[in-house]
Amino acid sequence: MFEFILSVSIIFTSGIIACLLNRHPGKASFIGAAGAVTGSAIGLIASIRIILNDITVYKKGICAFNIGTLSTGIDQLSAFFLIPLFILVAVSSVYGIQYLKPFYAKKPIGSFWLFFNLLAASMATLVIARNGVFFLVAWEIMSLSSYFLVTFEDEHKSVRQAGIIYLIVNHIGVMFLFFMFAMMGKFCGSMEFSDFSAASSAILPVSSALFIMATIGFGVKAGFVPFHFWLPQAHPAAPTPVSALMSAVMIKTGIYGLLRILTFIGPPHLWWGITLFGIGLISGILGVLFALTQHDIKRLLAYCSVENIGIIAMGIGLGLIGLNKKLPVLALFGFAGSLLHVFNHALFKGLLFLGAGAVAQQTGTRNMEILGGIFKKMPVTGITFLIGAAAISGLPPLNGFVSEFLIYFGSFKCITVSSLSVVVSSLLAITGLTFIGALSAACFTKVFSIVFLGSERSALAEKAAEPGKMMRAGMVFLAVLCVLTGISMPLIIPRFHGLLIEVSGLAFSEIDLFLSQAKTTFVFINKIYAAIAVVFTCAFLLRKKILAEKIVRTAPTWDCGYSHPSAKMQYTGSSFVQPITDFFNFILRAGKKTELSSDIFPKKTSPRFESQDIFMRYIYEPLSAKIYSLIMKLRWIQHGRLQVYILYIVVTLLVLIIWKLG
Amino acid sequence: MLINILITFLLITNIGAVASSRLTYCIKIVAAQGVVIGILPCLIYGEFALLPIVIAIFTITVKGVIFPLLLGWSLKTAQVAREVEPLVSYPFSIITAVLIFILSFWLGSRLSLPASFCGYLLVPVAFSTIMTGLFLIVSRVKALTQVLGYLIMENGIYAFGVALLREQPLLVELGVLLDMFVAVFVMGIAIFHISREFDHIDTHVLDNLSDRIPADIRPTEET
Repeated sequence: MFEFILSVSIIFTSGIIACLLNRHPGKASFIGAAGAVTGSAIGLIASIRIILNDITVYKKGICAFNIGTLSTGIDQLSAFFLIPLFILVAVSSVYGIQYLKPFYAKKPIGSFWLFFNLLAASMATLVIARNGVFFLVAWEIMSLSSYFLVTFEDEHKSVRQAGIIYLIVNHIGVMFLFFMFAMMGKFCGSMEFSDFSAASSAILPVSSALFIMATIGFGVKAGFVPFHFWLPQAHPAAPTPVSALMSAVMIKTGIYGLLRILTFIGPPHLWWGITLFGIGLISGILGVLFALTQHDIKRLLAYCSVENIGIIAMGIGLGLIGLNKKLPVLALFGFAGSLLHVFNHALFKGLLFLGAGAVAQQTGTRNMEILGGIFKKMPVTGITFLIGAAAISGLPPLNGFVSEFLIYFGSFKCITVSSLSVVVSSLLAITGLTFIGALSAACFTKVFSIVFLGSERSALAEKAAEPGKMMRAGMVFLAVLCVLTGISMPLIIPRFHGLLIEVSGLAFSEIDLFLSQAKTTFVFINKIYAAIAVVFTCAFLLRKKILAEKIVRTAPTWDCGYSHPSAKMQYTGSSFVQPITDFFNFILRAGKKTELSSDIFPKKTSPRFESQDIFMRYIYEPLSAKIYSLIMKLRWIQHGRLQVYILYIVVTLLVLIIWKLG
Repeated sequence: MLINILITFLLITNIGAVASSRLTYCIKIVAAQGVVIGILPCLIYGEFALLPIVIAIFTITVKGVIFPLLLGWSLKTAQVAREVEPLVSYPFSIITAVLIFILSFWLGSRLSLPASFCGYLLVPVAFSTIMTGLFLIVSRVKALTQVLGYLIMENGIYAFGVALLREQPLLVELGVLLDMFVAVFVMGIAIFHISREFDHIDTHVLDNLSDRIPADIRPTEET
C-alpha cells in the first residue's frame, strides 16, 4: 500500500512544483514529467507485484471532514487497472515534454503539468479508494483536472465549446453516482466499501436501481452510446498526451467503477447482462460506423474508443448473463475478454493517439483528406501507427486479437446451450464482433492509407518530418508492448486467477479449468504464429535471393503510366469508405453535397461530405435548444444591475420576516 | 426622556438621508447619526461603567469622525458631481421612508423581545434605520451612496443591538464595529480605485463589466 501512496504523492507533488515553475517552461516540463514517470514506475512495479503474488490489501483510513474516511485498499481488480494507467501516464508524459515545446512561448506549461499530474494522481487514487465519499472526491478531481487539460488551447472556440460539453455531461453523470453512493450508504449504514460487500443482502431490494444508476453514471464517463457524444468533442480538443491518457485510461475508470459496483450488489439479474450487452453491441456498431465517416483523425479515434468500450461492455454483459444462467464458461470468457480488452485498448489507443498527435503536430492539420504520403517522411510514426491500427482491428498476432478472441471463444462455446437468451446473445456477440472487426479494419485501412500512403495531397503534408526522440520513444514503447502482449498470452492468462475470482465470484476449480483451457488455446495459437512466421521468413529470404540478381527500379507512388500524375487522382478518405457509408446512410445520415451541373459542358463542381452524430443532431441539440430557450425566459431576472440584486435580497428578507411574524 | 429624544433624532436623520440631494449633506447626516448611536449605550446602560463609555468613545470616533472624513476624502479624490442621482425620485423616497417606518412599528409590535429593553420606540426605529439603509443601497446610483446606505444599515443593526444591551455583551457590538470599519475602509479604497480606472463611480456603467453583454455589441469570435 505504501508504494501506491508514495507514487501518488510523487506525481502530485511534482505537478505542484511544475506549476510554481510556470515561468521556466523547460524546467516545469522536466519536473512534471520526471515526477510522473518516477511515480508511475514505483506504482507499476508495485501493481505487478500485487498481481503476481495475488495479494489483497485493505487499510482503513482516518476520518476526514466527518463524512468519509480516507480508506485505501488494493486488490487484483485495482492492480489490474493501475498497470495500464501507470504505463500510459509515464509514456504520455515523456511524449508530452516534446509535444509541448511549440507551446512554450504562448501557454502556461507549469499549469498544464499541474493538471496533468493531478489527473494521473486522481485516477490512481480513485482506483485504490475504498470509501464512497473518497471515491467521489477523487472522481471529481479527475473530471475537473481533465476539463482544464481539454481547454488547454482555449483560444479556439471549438475547444471552449468541447470543454463546456465535457464539463456538463460529466457532471450529469456524477449526479447519478452521488445518488447511487448515497443510496448504498443509506442501506448499508456506512460509506466504506468493505461494509458494502459485507451488507450485500441489505442492498438486494434496490440492487436493480443501483445497477441502473451505475450504468448511467459510469457509462457517461466510459462513453456508452447514447452518452458517448462528449468523447468526439473533447478528445480532438485536448492536447495529444491528454487525449491519449483520457481515451486510453480515463474512460476505463468508468468500466472500473461499474465492475466494482457489480461486486457489491449481489447476484446479477438476467436483464442486467442483456442491457449491458445490448449497450455494448450498439456502442460498438455505431462507434465504428461514425468513425468511418470522420475526416478529423483524432475525432475518428475518439469514435473508435466508443466502439472499443462497446466491446468491453459486451464482454461484461456476457459475463453477467453467464453468471445468471450458471454458465461459468460464458461468464469467465466474457469477463476475461473484457478485462483484457481494457488493458489492450489502453495500449493501442494510446499508441494511435500519440501517432495521430505526432502527425497533426508535424503537419499542422488533423484533417486526413489533405494529408497523404507521409510514411516516407515519418517512417517510425508510420510503422508504430500501423501496428496500432492492426491491433485495434483485432488482427493476430497483436493484442487486440486476443481479447476479442476470448469473447468469440466463450460465445462459440455457448451457442448450443438450451437457454434462448444465452444462444441469442452468443450469436449476436459473434456476428456483432465480426461486423465491428470488419468495419474497424476498413476504418483503419482508410486512416493508414489516406494519411501515410499515396502522395502528398497538400503542402502541409509535404513539410512533414519525423517528430523528436521522446515522442518516437513513447510510440515505439507502446508498439512493442502491443506485440508482446499479443504473443505472450500463455504467460499472462494464468495471472487472471485472482482477478476473475474477484469479478465473477465463481469457485476456484471452475476458474482453474477455464484458465487451463484458455492457456492451451493460446499455446496452440502461438504455434500457428510461429509456423506463419517461419513461412514468411522463408518467403522473404527467397524473394531477396531472387531479386538480388535483378534490377529493382523505384518510381513515384501513383505513377501508373500517366504523364502528369496529380495527387488529386488518388482516392480520398470519403470516397474510400463511400460504399460502406452509403449502405448505412439510414443511420449515419451523412450530408453529401454534389452539385452536378446538367449542362453539356459541365462546370467545376466540388462534392462535399459531412458527417454528423445523429444523437447530437436529433436528440441533444434540440434538447439543449429547448432548455436554453426556457432558461432565456428567466434572463430578465439576471440583468447585472447591482441595486436590483440587493432589492431581491431585501424583498426576500422582508417577506420572510413578515411571514414569520405575521 | 433623553433616550426618546435621541431616538426621534435618529428617525429624522433617516428621513433626511433619504430626502437630501447633496452628497456632502448626506455624509454629514450619517456622521450625526453615528454620534447619536454612540451616545445611546451610555444612556441605556443606566449606571456608570467603563465598558459602555469606552465603546461610546470608540463608536463616536469611528462613525462620527473617521468615516465621514474618509468618505469626504473619497468624494474629493474621486471628483464626482456632488449630486446623489437617485433611481427613485425624492418625494417618493420620503414616502417610502415613512412607509418603512410604519412597517417597522408593526414589526416591532409583533416581535416578542425580552422585557428589559428601554422604551417602545427603539426597536421600531432600529428596524426602520436598517431598512432605510437597504433602501438607499437599492435606490441610488453612485457607489458612494451605497457605502452611505451600508453605514446607515449598520447603524440600525447597532441600535438594535443596543436595545438588547442587557442580554447581549457589548463586546459583540465592538466586533460589529470593527467589521464595519474594515468594510468601509475597503469600500473607500475601492471607490477611489474604480474612479481612477473608469473616471466615474456610477454602478450603472460598471454593469458593462459583467459577462452579459448585449448580443449586438459582443465582439465577434473566430469560427
